[in-house]
Amino acid sequence: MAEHMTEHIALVVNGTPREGDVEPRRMLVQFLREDLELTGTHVGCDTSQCGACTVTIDGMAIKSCTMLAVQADGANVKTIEGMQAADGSLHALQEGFWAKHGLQCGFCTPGMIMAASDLLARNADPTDDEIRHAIEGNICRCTGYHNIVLAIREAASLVRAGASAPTPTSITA
Amino acid sequence: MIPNLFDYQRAASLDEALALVGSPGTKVIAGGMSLLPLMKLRLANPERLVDIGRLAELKGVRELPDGRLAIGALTTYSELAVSPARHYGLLGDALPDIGDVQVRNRGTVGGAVAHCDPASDLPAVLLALDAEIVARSKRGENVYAADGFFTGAFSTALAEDELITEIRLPGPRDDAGSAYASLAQRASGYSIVGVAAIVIKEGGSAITKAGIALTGVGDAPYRAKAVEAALIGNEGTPESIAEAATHASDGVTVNGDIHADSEYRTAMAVAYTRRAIAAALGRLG
Amino acid sequence: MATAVQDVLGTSVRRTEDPRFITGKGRYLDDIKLTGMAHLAILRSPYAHANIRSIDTTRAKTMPGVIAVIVGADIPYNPLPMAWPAGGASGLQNNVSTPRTLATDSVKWTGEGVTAVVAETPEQAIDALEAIDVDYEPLPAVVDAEKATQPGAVQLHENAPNNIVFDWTVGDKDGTEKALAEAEVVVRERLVNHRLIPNPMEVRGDIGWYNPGTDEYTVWMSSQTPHIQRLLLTAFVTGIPEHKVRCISPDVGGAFGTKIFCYADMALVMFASKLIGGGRPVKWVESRRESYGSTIHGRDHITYVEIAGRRDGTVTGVKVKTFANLGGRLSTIGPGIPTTLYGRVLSGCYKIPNVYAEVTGVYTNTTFVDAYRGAGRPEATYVIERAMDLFANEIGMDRAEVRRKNFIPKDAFPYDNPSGLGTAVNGEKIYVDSGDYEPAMDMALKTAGYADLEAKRAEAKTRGKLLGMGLSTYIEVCGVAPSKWIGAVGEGWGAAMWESSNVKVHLTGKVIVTMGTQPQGQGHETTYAQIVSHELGIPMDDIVIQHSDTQGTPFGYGSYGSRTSSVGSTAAIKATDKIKDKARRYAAHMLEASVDDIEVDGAEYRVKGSPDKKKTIQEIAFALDLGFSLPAGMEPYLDETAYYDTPNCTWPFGTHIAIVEVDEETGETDLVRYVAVDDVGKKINPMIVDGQLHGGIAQGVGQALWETAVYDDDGQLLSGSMMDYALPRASWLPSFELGETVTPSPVNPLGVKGVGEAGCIASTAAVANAVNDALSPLGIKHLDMPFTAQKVWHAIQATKGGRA
Repeated sequence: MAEHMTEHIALVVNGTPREGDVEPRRMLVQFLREDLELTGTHVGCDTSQCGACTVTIDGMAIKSCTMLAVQADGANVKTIEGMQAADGSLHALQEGFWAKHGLQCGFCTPGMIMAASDLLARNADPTDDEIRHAIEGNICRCTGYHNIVLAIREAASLVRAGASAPTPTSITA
Repeated sequence: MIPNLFDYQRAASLDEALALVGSPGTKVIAGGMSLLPLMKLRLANPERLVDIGRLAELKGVRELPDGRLAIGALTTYSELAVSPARHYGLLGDALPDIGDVQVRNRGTVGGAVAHCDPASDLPAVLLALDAEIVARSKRGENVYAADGFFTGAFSTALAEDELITEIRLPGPRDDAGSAYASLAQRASGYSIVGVAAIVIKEGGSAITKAGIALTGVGDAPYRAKAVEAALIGNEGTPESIAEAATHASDGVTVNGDIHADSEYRTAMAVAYTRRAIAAALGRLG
Repeated sequence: MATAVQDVLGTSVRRTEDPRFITGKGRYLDDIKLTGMAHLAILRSPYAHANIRSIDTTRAKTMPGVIAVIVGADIPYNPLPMAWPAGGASGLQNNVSTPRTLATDSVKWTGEGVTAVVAETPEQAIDALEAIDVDYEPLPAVVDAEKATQPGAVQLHENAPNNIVFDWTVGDKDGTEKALAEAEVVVRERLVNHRLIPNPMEVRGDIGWYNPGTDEYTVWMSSQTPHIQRLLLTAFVTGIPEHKVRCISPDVGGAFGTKIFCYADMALVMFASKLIGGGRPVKWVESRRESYGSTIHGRDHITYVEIAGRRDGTVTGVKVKTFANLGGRLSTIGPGIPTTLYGRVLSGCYKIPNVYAEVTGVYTNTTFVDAYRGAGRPEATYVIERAMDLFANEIGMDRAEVRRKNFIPKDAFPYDNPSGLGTAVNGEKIYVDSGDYEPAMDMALKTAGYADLEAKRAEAKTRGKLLGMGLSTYIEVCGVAPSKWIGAVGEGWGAAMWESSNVKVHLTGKVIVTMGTQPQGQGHETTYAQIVSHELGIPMDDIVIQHSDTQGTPFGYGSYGSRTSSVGSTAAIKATDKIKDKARRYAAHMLEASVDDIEVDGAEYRVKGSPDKKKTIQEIAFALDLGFSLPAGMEPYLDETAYYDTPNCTWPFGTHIAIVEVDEETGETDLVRYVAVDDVGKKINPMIVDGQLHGGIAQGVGQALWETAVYDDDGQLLSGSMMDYALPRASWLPSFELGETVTPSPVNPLGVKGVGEAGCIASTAAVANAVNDALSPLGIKHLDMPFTAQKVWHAIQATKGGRA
């Protein structure tokens, strides 16, 4: 077998410059999960159907299981781990998902939140139909999507209210 | 799943890409939305990928002086959806339902055209619009008419050493109405039947030109010329549209699979052709 | 002074587990990376049925990074256990074939594991699979359970003539046949409840770690039942002593039944870790496509139902014959699903004097079938709810009124069902605990606008749509199960099904609760904390719920069968009762009062009549845990364990109504509204309960409309990936309209019934009845699921003189 080279890549992940040497066949999701140990981004299928691996590049949602790590060389990637503010306060979407019980097992949640962030960047006040259409690339097997729609709607209203939402200090708040 | 090993080369310029394209075992990758899933399942096993994804000269949508629209091959579906192309009724219909937002953010126009999935939506749109596909090779530039370009499943008229650089759409016209209607395969999102329709009435009440193209139905996206012929001179009554639509799969060997056997797909080709034509006429006012 | 603790029981507090999940800090199986970890990949059979002539691993062993290549003959383990032998009551014969760790002589379905590679990286392991040469002798295959039992069918196993695993019966055969013979009306139909692939979003995986220094194994597994797996892997499979194995289930990304079972890969990673030596852990994670052949499927019944009754709407008998497809070999409790959990609940919420069912369990060349959300009860609900509609339509009576006429009346509880679980075996039977079925149905009918159905139908018709409304007045048995019943009847795990809880109030007043149950997204950490907070008067923020590790939690049977809230919660309450009892005795010691004079109010332990003389539970815990001053005979520490065996099962119920529209031209079928009125007893956290219902409804709707596992005649899975197996997506579903009635269960102190499966049990039948209702004006009496556009179109064409 011919010798295959690795490629050096440098990119910004959650605001931090990161580098690595990867086989060209390494998918971005593997680079994030295995090399950078950002395991919040998940793999739920092998055919680009489920969206559990969704991250954003320059704010645009993409499926990191269907992008080579070398293709992301130089990119500005955001994963679920980068959604909280520097002071640890939750992003409005995280707040919305928590408040409205938009998750159960939590496995699809990071991808769902990242896909929703793409929507809210384009549409500050989406209708339920627009929300449902925007998360068509993300499968949730637990919630029936009912509360995910409520969660994203809640997040949109929090954003419109002009803030990333305050974080409750207690679950009973 | 994990692809087989391969070598990777990112093209820094179009000339560099053209120097690499066409060598044995080499595949071109742009967004990768079609190729990478096949490679992950090891159904495609190229020895080398040439990444053209950064070629700035292949990006963007511009209006040509004669009113035509030139779409760079690396334009993504998402970029196309916010470009002047969205004003073509059939593109406005088709784009929001191609794949999902993540696919539309990565998938490119040139990639979809070159890959020629038998159920891909964009080729049908290009066929109906009489688009031109511009390709480059070391030998020079070549302009293909969409009609005739899509030769079979995953097969086009593109030569081995050619790269698609641009898609050109005819300029918009006030006397044309167009629409896209499709029935999706639920799991994959690909079209069981997709119909692109454009009808033109050059003065008067009768249809003078029509472009009707279908995807998902046969080996490759195709122009339904018998439908078009039946529409010419037609006033566009419901009955006449319905009659014209019955020719939707004339001469085509219709696909069958677990989601749609050939009998059902044939019937849906007719139904969705009728719906697309009616919607196109509706937009003509 | 201590402020009053807010009573959180019955309130929709936010989930305590969510902060880690919404920030990407959940820890699922594949997120675990251990020092020295090697990676395992499994080569699986491309044939549905073949003999293995030889396996040549020579080339694979030389591939880069390969540490070991393993074939079945290398592994001295026993085949996997079959733990639920479908009851001895009706004299079945179990002709058991279960998977081995890797196949040795033959393969029985596409996807059965044949060879394994252990390598330094997952990539290298997968690459090396392609260098293994297996010489197969392909054999003809059979995939249809009914056809597999017919003469001349392909035989899978020598010990199972006609591919029959068991012939099982329940109910009164003679009485039912007499009822059918004497009935004014008998309606007969063949119903297919098609095969599903459960698809939790997290696939399965395991990490095995053999520590040569201690001769102990640790197995991380994405499982609903780590305690049971340790038991099964040690007592039945590997021969390794139980005390030498620890099983850990990290965060589980959905399961829906698939992760209850003992799988070959669990044993394989244990074997591999010891084989490669050096104390190196070995990880295996299935791919999604792989999982379609390595993780169980669900449903797959072919049923002949006969329903008999009078023209006044009274149902007098139901007779059922079912062929249950169990796959190429048996999964852990595969035979239990179409028997105990199906045949015994076939009469639903109706008082039907004569019910008789025969179930034939069948081997076919398909992935093994076991419990998938609802597990037998959705299949039973589908049969009885379709049958009620068929009967109502036959006698020309309103579907809701036929149901109303046959409901078990509310004064009949606890109801002694003459068939099914009410059939006494060795003196033991199970009663329907409580119910009041009419109010739930009336609320659902009103919300859905059932009275205006014909007007809705007419309006839809103007849009080219056929509108249909479907009812499902379901009942569910959950909270399984009294151990005495299991022992007497011989059904259930070959062991008891109690639950366990340990509660410790530590020196600082903080509480650690360990449970034998195992969450997969249901919010156990929240709901148990709500209960313990309520019981002890300690704030939820001071309570943590731990689970999932055989080291450090009491043995438990795990979470499935909607049993956690009724059985697990009661164990927690029993443990807090013991805590309170000891705290009260210690308070008496501290306050120099008699125990009888100590009254408990939340966290406060007071002397009756002397309100100033009191101690908080935190003060009590501090002193008692310190142990400087102990009354005679009292042990230090506030630490109590309870094991709770339920005296009965619990029976949630309700009415679900689906409204669908069918495009008459294309067959496309859309769910436009969904109304669900459920009675799951009392709710610990209504928000979580509603979420369980939403998810269950969506899965059941998915079965009715889109999801289907399709094999060709050669046993190749045509719906072999998410590209061809359609899982529900957000834009295909409406928001759900939920209502409730509350009939507390008398079985447990909380009055809860269980909710994990209810939505899924009810909704499939509701949608099926709705689509059939929509098609009824065309003269269609019954169409099987799934109602894909092409199937509905073909059915419509058939009514127009075209071919079906």
